Amino acid sequence: MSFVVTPSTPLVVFDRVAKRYGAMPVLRALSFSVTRSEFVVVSGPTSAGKSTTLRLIAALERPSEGTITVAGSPLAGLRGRALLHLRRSMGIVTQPPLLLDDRSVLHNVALPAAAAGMPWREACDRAAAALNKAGLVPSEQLLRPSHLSGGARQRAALARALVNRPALLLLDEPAAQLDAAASADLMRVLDQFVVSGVTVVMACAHPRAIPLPARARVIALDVEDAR
Amino acid sequence: MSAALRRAAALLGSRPWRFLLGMLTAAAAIVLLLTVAVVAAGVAPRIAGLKAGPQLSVFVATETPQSELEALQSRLAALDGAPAVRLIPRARAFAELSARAGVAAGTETRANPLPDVLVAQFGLGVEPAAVERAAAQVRTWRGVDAVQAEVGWYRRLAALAAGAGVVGAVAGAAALLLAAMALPAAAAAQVRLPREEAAVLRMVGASTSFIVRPYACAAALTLALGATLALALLAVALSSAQPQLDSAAAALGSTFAWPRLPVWLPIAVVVMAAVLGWLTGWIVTHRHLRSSDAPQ
Repeated sequence: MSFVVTPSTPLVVFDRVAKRYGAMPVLRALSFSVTRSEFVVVSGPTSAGKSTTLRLIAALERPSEGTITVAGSPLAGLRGRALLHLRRSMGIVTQPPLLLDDRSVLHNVALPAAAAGMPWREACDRAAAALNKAGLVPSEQLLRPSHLSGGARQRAALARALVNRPALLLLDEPAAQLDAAASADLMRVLDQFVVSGVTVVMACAHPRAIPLPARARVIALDVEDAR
Repeated sequence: MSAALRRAAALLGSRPWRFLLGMLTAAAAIVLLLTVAVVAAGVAPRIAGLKAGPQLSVFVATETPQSELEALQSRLAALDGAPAVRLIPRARAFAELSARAGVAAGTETRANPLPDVLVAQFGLGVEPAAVERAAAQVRTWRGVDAVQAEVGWYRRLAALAAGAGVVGAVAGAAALLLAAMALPAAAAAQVRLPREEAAVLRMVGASTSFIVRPYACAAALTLALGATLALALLAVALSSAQPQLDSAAAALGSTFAWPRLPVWLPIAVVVMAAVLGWLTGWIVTHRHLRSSDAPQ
């Protein structure tokens, strides 16, 4: 599954995007673009709108003003199947990782594949493979998410984001629950994804605290942007 | 679909008391509906057809030839309300009377003063006025000496039955309304889509039907199992009532058997319950989803 986009076309374009929750502004006139196979870090202090930026790219929220284009399609015009296709082409890791505790970790990770129409057994096989790669052993895969450590939950969320082999990976503070060594490992893995053609957009409050790959481009948001 | 069914079973299993209550509520509502249907279709017509209504006693003139007696019997049987007609021959009546009086038959030299009597027995569904009209008509027939009709008690019974019918109809309608409300409520009680689940499923690109299907399946399973339980309970109740109904019917000179139901009927009841559950589950989950999806 991939976006139809030529190498020269930016994958994500924000054009003077503003977002307000009621009267409270979160983003104001934000413009940037992300090209294919790029590693972009959206940084900024708390309340600068990093998570909101990721949610806007995933069309989980709508901008109050401005336009967002993903793979050449304005998100405002996306409805129904096109919107589903867009979300299935992305892998999203939220902060905190949103995992459903009424089912096992394996079934959580199988969800995106099943939602994309894959038979359940096949989706579970693919989820097990993704979890193995993320370092969760089979006995951990059968537990409820609440029975895992914070770091293991984060890795499970990453496995879920990757299970559909997305073209765009959106990660919100993916290193928040990881120690320094695990953070470095994660950055290495993400860099490999970028090399293989995946675009990574990562929100991070303190980009200097983690060993970002050399190719990473930082977009700094300021609280002033929102005010 | 198998994944949705598996998920539905897990949903029901995670809240067993809610599921059990929903299934029992559905079973009670369906038993109520089926009981009303069985009584309306099976019992009421049989009661109406029982030959336990008013009687006409037709005293035949003496010296009436046998052929004319038989003709009278046929004409009585052809009256409105199709009564059952039996003959009490004068000789048998005299013999019984003599035996009761303690006189040995054949020792009495006096002539038999009793007439032949034709008794027309109407069913319970006949109108009292129709019986009176029939009595007046029969009195004019040749060969009929007198007609005796006891309709007063039947008129009072018919008035009571009409009152009971109105009360029964109101109670039946109330029961149907209650059942019609209880079934969707039992199905809807199985549906609770948490906001977090809706958010995660939307985030991973799940379609509305993917999200809704397990809940619709859970609601359909609840009503289908409730309908199966209701059919089993009803079968036990009907077979338990059979001896009492047999003896009541025998006392009225009749027999009673439940109407034979086609094989497809129980299957249709279960399928209809499942479809109702599915639709209710679909609508309720859709509503939850719309509130979760409200634009921000």
